[in-house]
Amino acid sequence: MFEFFKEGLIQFFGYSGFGNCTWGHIIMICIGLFFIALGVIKEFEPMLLVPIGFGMIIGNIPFTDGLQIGVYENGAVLNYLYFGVIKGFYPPLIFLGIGAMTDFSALISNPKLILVGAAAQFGIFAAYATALLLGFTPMEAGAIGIIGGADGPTAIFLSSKLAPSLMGAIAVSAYSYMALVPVIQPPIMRLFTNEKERLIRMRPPRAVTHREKVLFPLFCILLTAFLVPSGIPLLGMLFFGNLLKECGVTKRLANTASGPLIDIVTILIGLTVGASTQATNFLTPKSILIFVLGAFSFVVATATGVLFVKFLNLFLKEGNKINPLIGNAGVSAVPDAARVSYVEGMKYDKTNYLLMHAMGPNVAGVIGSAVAAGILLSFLY
Amino acid sequence: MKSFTKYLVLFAALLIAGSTFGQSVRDLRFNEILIKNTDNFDDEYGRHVPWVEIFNTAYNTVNLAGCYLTDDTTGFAAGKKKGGVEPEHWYRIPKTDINTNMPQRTYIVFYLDAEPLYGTFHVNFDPRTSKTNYIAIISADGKDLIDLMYYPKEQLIDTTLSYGLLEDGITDNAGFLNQFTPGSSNVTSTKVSKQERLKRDDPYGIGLAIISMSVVFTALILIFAMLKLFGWSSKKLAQKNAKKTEPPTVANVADVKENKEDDEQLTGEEAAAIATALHLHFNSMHDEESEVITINMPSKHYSPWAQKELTMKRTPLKRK
Repeated sequence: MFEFFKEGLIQFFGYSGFGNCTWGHIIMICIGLFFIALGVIKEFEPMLLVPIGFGMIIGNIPFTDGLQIGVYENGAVLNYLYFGVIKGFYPPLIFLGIGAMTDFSALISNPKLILVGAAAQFGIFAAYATALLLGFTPMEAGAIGIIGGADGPTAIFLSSKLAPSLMGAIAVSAYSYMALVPVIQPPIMRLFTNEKERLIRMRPPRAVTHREKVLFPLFCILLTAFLVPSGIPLLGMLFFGNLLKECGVTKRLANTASGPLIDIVTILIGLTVGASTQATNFLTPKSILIFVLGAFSFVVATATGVLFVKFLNLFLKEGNKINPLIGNAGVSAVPDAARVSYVEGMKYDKTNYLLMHAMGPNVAGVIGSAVAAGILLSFLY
Repeated sequence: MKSFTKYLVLFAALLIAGSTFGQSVRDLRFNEILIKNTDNFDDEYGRHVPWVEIFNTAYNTVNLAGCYLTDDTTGFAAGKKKGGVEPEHWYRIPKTDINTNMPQRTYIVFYLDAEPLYGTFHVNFDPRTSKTNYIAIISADGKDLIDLMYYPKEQLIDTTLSYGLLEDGITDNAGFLNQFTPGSSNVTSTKVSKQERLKRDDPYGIGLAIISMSVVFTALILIFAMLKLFGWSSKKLAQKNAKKTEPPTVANVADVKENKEDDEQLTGEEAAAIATALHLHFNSMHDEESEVITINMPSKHYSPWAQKELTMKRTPLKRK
């Protein structure tokens, strides 16, 4: 009898998380807890970091293989939810919501700001070239480079196509740096600007008509999708969402896309991406390299955005000049990057409100990173 | 009521049959055939016999069980069981073998040796003695021709080459194959992949960076031009509307000029104050209130069951 209980307990212990735990699992659970703490205490992108952090905890609770529990096991519930990440259909749905939330007025009223959004995409290709030098394959390098676009859904979309094995590391890296925008960007902005430039006041944006707002998504999808058809899943959904918002007759659809739909998809994408970071797949030297390259691409993207504004100012008349502090907003972390521009601007002039101006390059960055993802896809896939 | 139930059951059965067929065997294609097998792929008994490969082009699992393989479709149009007898050269794939399940995009090989007693994958006809030069697969009910592949029989009997689709599942592109690939893809060419070419031609990624940045800039410059056009046309339209609504007088023009100067001089603080006022105006609307201020206690209309103190457990007091 005693032997039976003893064996049963030993067997049960073998099935439990304690029996299968490794240092890798403990480290990953700690990282998950750290993410949750960052989201809850510091309020750094809580909508993303809390689900991802919790997903990391779920994904790293050790278990015995074959019970259809883990995210990588066929037939497991988490595996079904992860399907949207693998097949890349969550990111376009998120883009639909982003489109339905975004007001492109700042961009429409001051079109030259769109070029800042283009310049900031240089970070993607700088990281791509560096990743190649470090021995990654072109497909892996492309997926890593897109972290510089500071766009989580785009990073997941591209990595699901180009380098599915690295998707966990790339997604976590992209979302982490998006959350750390207020920490990473300001020193770079200060490094490349002087006191005088930070005080530049920009002209208030003009009023944008309803007609312009409705025509904008229609013309944009035609112009961009014909040029880069591989970007259709992202660009199409982005501009479709925006059309729902601006046309004025589909308020319910726009509300759903920008509310319940994007919330549901954010929960699923966050949780499953977090769960996909199982210690055995995630804790590798490649993941560390991906984090380093992600930081590098983010820094380059911020720097090129700021420097491009300075370059543009050389050709602009006095009174029309752009404050280079909005150059960082060329990355597509909406609206965090624009908020960083605003906060930095306020440090030097309490009456200089840069938020609306920074939203221009910020939304241009969303378009730019989706176009860049489309190009990488057409070259590498 | 009985007849209604009967129709309902019939409808459900048809629906199930239809959906099963719809998501399954329609996607099967003959992929490769070899007739003169001298020293090639051998069966489980070590014999070299003709074989045919079937490819599941679908992205879901397909079960072949119940379908027919044949080299003679005579009787096909009339249905399989004319007089309760199945046509002679029709080989029915047994339903009891789990190996007839084909996962997505996989291949299965049948031996064309006229030895059906040797196992599930041995059919009851042999192309070497067949009168026809094709092989067909027919649905379980014997009424739907799923796929039919013609092959150059005379040449195949003389040569050791296999014949099949040059690209898996693409039926309009068939020919002799350079390699035998029973149970695997027919595409065996070793052409350089896109990725390998990119790695060879652009090892540092500079070319890709230049091209990609050019495309990004082009796309966004196009949007820039479009937005400029928007601005220009809306400005023109506004001017036109203004002209329509108010005929210009000397005084009006002066006012407009003055207002324009005022707008240009609008400071950031003023803009923020206006924006805040508008925000407060639009967002501070709430329910109408009674607007009655009184020192009297408001009347209570709730029933005692909802009183919080009644729902709480009291600490018992010890009586002395």
